[in-house]
Amino acid sequence: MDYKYIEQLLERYWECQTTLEEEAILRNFFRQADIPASLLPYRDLFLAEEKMADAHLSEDFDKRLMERIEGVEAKEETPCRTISITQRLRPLYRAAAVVAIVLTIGMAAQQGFTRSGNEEATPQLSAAETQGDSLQLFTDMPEVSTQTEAVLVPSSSTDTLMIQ
Amino acid sequence: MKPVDFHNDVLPLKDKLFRVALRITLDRTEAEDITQETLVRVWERRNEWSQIENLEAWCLTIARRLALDHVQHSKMQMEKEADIADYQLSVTDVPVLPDEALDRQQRVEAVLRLIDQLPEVQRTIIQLRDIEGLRYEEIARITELSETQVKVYLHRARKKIRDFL
Repeated sequence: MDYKYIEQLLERYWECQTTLEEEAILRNFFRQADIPASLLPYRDLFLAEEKMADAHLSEDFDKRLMERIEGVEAKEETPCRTISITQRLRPLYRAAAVVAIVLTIGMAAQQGFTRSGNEEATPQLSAAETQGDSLQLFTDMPEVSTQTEAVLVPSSSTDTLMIQ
Repeated sequence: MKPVDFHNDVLPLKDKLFRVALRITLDRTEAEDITQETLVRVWERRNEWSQIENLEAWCLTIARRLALDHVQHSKMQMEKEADIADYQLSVTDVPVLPDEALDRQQRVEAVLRLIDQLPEVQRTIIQLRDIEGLRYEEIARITELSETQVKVYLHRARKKIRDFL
């Protein structure tokens, strides 16, 4: 048998000049049992390539894939909720309200404590200081009789306290 | 143009995608994960199917990119490279024996290992051309190279194999 054609094809194969059809001819040739000794070493390549083509996925691959795709579909079908800016900032408003309430209560409590502290201090002062102040007030008011009445007369230009 | 159907047009490509991913990662489990990821991505982009000129090449491009990303980020790959380096030594140490002295199966296994130790681009091109039977134009698209570059890489790969045989 003349193997010249196969040898020529092989030479062109190594040079990457064969077509897909010619490569298929080579593959078919090396699949047969009767191969001349001169071409025998090249058979290993074509047998190795057949083995490479025999790699397949595991049997449960499709099942796992479809489960994942169904998951992707379900995710895509979940309707998107539109959230307004007011809704988005609601937690912030709540936090601000809580802070405001706490501050108000705190300030009110602090004022309450301060006032009660002042009330305790006032009686001690009143005896001496208030009397002194009132005496001072009377001494600072010369030429005014004790019967005079202080009347607040509103003025259009300036707010003045006029004494009649 | 006939509308693309996932079960009839895309799913049958799974083994082809798996083999290409396997040739790049050299790991069955990783190649299965990449195949699944590829098909999920193809499904997610189903709105684009009608505009795709060559669905097979498009799917293979996605698979190759994912496989390359995987290999790049995999620490395991470094260990594999070390293994390949060890193997490279062992291959060069294999004595040249007459055909009949070596079992055919062993010789086929040696060729397979030789292909696996080729640079990624060379073994991917071998896979796409010699196993998957793709045209140079399609391989160029998938590997993002020119047709001339594809032929150069394929020529180098085949020369190494021929020298080994």
